[in-house]
Amino acid sequence: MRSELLLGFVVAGTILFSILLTVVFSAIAVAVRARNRRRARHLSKREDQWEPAVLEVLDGARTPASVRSLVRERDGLLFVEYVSRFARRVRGKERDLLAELAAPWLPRLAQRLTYRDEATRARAVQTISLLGLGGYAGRLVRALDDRSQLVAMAAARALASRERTEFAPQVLRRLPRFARWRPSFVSAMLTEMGPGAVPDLLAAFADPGQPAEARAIVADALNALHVLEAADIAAELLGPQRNRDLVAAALRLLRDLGRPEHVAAVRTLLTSPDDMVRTAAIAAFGALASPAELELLVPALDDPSHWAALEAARALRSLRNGAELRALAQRRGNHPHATIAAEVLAESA
Amino acid sequence: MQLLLTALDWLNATVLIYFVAFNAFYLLTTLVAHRALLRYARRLKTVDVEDLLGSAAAPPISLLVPGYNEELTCVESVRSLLTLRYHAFEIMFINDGSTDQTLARMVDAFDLEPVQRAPVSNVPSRAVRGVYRSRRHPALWVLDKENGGSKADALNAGLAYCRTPLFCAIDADSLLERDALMRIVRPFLEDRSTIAAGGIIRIINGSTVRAGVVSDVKLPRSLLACFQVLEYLRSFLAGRVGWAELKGTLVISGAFGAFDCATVVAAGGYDSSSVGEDMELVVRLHRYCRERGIRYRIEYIPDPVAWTECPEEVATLARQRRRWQRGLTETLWIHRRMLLRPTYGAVGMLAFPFNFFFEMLAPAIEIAAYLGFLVGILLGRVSPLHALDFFLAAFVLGIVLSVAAIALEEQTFRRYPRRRDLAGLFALAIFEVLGYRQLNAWWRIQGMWAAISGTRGGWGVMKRKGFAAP
Repeated sequence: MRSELLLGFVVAGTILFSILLTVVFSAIAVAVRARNRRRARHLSKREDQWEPAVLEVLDGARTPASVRSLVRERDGLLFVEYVSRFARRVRGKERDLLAELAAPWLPRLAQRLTYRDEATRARAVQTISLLGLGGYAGRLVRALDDRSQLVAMAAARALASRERTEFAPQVLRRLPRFARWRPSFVSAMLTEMGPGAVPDLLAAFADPGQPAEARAIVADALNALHVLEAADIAAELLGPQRNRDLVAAALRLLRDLGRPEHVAAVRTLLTSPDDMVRTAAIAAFGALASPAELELLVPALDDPSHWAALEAARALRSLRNGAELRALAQRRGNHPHATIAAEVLAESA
Repeated sequence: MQLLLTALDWLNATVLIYFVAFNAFYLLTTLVAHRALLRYARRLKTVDVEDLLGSAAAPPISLLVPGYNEELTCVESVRSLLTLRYHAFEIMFINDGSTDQTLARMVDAFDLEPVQRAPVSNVPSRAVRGVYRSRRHPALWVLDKENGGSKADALNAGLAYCRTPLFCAIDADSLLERDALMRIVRPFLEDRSTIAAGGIIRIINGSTVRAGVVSDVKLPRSLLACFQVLEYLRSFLAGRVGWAELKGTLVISGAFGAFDCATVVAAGGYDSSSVGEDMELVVRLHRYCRERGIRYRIEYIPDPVAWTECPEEVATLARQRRRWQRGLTETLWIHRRMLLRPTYGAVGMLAFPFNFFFEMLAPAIEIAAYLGFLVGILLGRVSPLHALDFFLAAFVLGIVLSVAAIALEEQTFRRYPRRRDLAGLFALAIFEVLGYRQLNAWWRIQGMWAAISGTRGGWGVMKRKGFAAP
């Protein structure tokens, strides 16, 4: 009897608790919808008011100062957000005009750089870099050391730009912080710094004090910027004991920017036990070697790695007018890489 | 007789505890998901998709689209994929020996020509008969292969030909939102140890599709499809976000998921014998990385959206659910050594037991509970009032989970803007527990039985209306 009573209480309690939760969640859903509608209406009303004025400023028909009276103090950050949407699409004088429009509210936005929530800080970094970098550069450099990787990356992306090459050393010094990010993402960011940052990039690439992964990222950026001087440094980095990411990046760079005198360094890696390194070495060797030296790649057509065999086939397509590849292609079904040869021959046809 | 009666009492008490634990766990993951989603929504504001789209930073990606007898939707689906916004991607449609006009339609629609293309890995699959490339869209490739009897075999063929660092597996009947690729690739940019990321699947029935883009999102007219909308919200917004936060993602839907190609190839590709190849692959990736001490992340993110057509006929839905449950059961059985092993971290200690004891066994226990209480009432061991109380508790707990998922949707993505749809979702949360849930439990028991008895699987063929149909 007692256990039945207890059971009854448990079940009744569960039902009541569940009903309470249902009411709470339903209330949240309804309230959030109502709040969002209210916000959307408010924003749409404000934007209807701001848009013609901002466009007139961009046309030169109105001064930025005259727009300020249209923005209520409590809508200041909304206005900055609105202006930043334009700022993402323009550069130069128009960007400067938009920055001037947003300037009165940027100190308020800058306060958000110290907020606890990392997303809020990162967003503030992004908006400030768009609309007010001049006055806040120091704050953004400090953000490179923010405890959050997200904020640090937002700051790095803001500072790594063609117009701000003076920040290149600061960004490059923090590269190890971004070891978690995808290397191609970080190297694309460095490439954005443009030719003005080449001396700093070369110095970082040659610096043995930098972690190998960071140097590999710099190598890819130098490659994308077509910095021919980087090839000599890359050739010096090749060696069996080196970090595989760094060696592969150096080989990619040599494939694209190397000279015949680098062939000897590349040749040593043609038999590397690491598939990634061997494939990159074959590609680089194929791009740099003389026709006579290319003979060395014929055994690579039997490489267990499809990728290595493919690179070898591409390098050999001109050797003896493709005779090697034709012979391999005819072994269709009897050789694992016969289709590779057929594909490369078809590419050249 | 006395022994039987005591067993019945024990069964009813156990079932009660089981139900409370089951729902409490679900509620816990929902609350975890709530916190994670709100944080994620704030973080999304820092993501400038336009900026990422414009940069060369995003890695090239191959879309693997396996298809078997998809003549009705393949052309429109591929057309939609061609409009995706991403700087470097290729589409590989894999025709798994269709017996209808799938290949002919593709050849005609995209001006395909046979070409030479070599595989770049040794992932096993049935023989590829030919490779085609579109003259009009050089990024579109079609692999024509012998029927392998499963989606996994078709995906393996595509994987063997994949030359990009990432690949994205999607269903031929799915429509991706234009920026979905960029969004799903983001975790791979932010953490190089990411090996897989899943996006959200939403139901397209009832919504309008114009030029391959879903516009005017509405609840479907069919009640069966409406129930599935609610189920998907609960599963993707509450369940998967919660599990991802707990580092226990065990499923990335086969309809839309991105993977690191090299890791999947190293792990052996998809399991061709499994009907739950999507879950099996994710569980195997966990196991592969954990056993080798490889640092890895498997993410679920709720902003990249794939829209899919859900079944509106009971028989088709039943088949789908049997397949899902069968896939779940098979996968958990194959990898049973992960159960409660600390070596596998949160996956082994939390996600695996939850799926094993709750997701897999729940339908059987639910049906046993109905029968047990019925017998208990008939034998006078349980008062009808108590039985009613119990079911009321179970049902109301179920409603809570659905309403919580609706609240999550409202707080984050708000895809159903009409008031009528919001009200409809609330009503569905109540009516779903009266019949639909029990039907589902029955189909899942059948699926579990199919796994135990070893019935042969295959492609989950579904009757389609096509995207243009209202």
